Amino acid sequence: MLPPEISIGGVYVPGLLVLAIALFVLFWILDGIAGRIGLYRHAWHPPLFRLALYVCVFGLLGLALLT
Amino acid sequence: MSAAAPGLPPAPEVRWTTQLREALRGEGAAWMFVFKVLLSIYLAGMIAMRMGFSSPSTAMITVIVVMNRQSGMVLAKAFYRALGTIVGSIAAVTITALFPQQPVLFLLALSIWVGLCAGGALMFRNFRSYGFVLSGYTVAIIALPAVNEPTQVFILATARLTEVLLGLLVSAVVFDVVFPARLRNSLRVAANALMTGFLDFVRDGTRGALPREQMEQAHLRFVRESMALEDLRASVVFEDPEARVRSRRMRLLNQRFMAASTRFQSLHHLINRLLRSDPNDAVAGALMQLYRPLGEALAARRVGNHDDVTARLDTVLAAQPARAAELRTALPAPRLDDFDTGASLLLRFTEELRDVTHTAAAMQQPGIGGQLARASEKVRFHYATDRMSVAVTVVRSFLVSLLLGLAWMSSGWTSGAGAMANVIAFTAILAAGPNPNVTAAQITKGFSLGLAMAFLCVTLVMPRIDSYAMLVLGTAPFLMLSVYLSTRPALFGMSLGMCLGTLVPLNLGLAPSFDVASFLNNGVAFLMGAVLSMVAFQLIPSVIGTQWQRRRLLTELRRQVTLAARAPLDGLAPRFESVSRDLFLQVVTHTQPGSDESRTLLAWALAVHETGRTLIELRHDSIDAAVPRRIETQIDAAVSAIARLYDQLSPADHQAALAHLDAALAETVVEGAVPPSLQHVRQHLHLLRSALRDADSVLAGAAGEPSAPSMEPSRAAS
Repeated sequence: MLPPEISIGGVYVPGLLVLAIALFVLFWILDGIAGRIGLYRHAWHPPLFRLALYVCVFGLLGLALLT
Repeated sequence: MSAAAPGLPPAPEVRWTTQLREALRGEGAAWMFVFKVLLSIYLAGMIAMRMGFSSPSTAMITVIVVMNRQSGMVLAKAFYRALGTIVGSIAAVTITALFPQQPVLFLLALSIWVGLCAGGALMFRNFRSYGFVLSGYTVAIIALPAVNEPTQVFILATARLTEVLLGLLVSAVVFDVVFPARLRNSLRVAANALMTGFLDFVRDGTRGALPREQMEQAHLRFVRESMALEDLRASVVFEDPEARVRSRRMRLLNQRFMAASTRFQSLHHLINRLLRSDPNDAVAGALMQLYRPLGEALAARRVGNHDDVTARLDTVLAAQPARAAELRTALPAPRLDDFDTGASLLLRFTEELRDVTHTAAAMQQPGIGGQLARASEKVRFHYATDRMSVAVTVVRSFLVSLLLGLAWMSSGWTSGAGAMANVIAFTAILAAGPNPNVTAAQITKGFSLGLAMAFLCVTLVMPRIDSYAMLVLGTAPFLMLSVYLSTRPALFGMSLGMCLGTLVPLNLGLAPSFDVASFLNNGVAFLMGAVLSMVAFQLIPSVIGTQWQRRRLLTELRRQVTLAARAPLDGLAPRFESVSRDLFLQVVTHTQPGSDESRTLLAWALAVHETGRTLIELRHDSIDAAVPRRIETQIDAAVSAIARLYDQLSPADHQAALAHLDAALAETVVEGAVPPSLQHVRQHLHLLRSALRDADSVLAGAAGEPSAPSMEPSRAAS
């Protein structure tokens, strides 16, 4: 589904990079909501939790969209 | 030293383990920092080499540039560095594409861009200004090597962008995840210290009159701390999602704090003025009595529990009007104006203090669960910029890059591009900081040391290296030393120079390089760059912090009163507070503490804060009260006379302002009594009048005595 390379204004950009950036924006919003509710108070190491969650979602979406 | 003092008991023996522990205090954190930096550097280098990037050393250098002991600072700096690099890469491609065959035009466009970015950096604070610096020198780094082969510029730009972003990503992840040093904790400690300090100060203030000296020092401290808090806040939002959500609330707290501290100053100046004319003044005594419950409530508070303070302040606030009315009956009729003004100041101050503690209490709740009463959370923080020093910076950066570029092009120096990029980078980075010439000298010193270490590394270590692990082992000791030095604040500039001096000339690439000749060529070019930027700062000294700029900023500070008198009222009060504080702090950081200059400055800042604030409220209240036409004309005339007075310091304006204020005050009395709707207006007018007549104030020294010769603004300021 996701093309391996996407042409943006004539420049070929890896599809995974576009996905990573889109997810980054999405996470920025979700991060704010989680902070508002105080969700991170339940995590032992919030930054590690955020990072791991990001990597998991990115990996899953990457695998699901590319194959 | 004191070993043989007779008659003294021998000093208790300190066990060597305790001594060792004392000596090593803080070393753990320092080495943890070194570990994180090295981890990021080698991780970035390894990924870059695995991916086959053309110069992995760029990614490694990026880590050095953003390193900081606090995680939030690394994240904030990385964010703005990423923005700056993206903008700079786009600009580099554009400029090269516009003038591919005309080196002189190309150089002109480049210098203009660099100059504008350096100027932009001065208009912002913190890492935002760093983003501007970056977009300036990234252009130089990308476009200069491409000047002879313009077709290469796109490849150079993407390579640079990829490597820098990789370095930023790695250092952001490492510093955020591996044993993070949380900035949030520093913010919390700073905010609590500020609150406790202020509340204690208010408590002590109720026990008696505060001497002017002490009040000025305290004011300086509060301004400095509240601005520092705002700086911390701007970085904390990157580290902590909860802080990001509550960022506006933190601003609101800071702004309310500023409002309360200004009001506190006004109140105490009023009481001091009353006491000066007569030490046993009845009105001052009554005001102190009215004031006392507030101090008692603050003395009885549980320190650190803001809910408790808010509840106590609410009680004080509820009882205040009745108590004021009671005290008022005992006073003679001609003095009632003074008392009413003081009582209304006190009432507003108590309200504002309650709002501060209320906001602070809400901040203690998780998330944004604690509801905020009495506030819209839309707050903006304004900074003041001196346009003149921005202009000087723009011109200097422009000239330095243009002249150096022309010299480089006509000399045909092959490694000149590296030298020039280095000059532009250093001049841009250092221009925004304090004492750029001292830091430039330090960096140059560090750079030459680093270069010597890199030379050792290249000739002795590099030939024996056959794997990435060996590379790490071989270069780590050199870097460890340099990075460790950066944990000593006094050595930071030198350490930065050493790290860069080691890493930049090593130019670690995909294939090992043993070319000592090209190493020396590049190394000397970079060193020349550092030396040239040092020379540039010696020849064209920075405007920041000079006598000339301080004088300009002080004039600008006085002109804030004009702003308060004339600007549209919408959102004016917070804007006035933050701009005047920022200006004040900019001047104060460059004055010797305790000097005459610093004292004059403090006095001016207090006068400006008090007068400006009162003017804004007077304008608000006279609109709210719908004052009659004839009073309005008098008020308008008085307001503009005061604005002119602060602008030009002429005794004539002083006279005019007093005359208009007296006339307006006389008009507010209708048939021997003041109508309730005009009470507030009258109190503001009275406060302005008493501030103008204050013989002790700095304004009186500059423009008060009509018989004294009018002093030049600059004389009064210095």
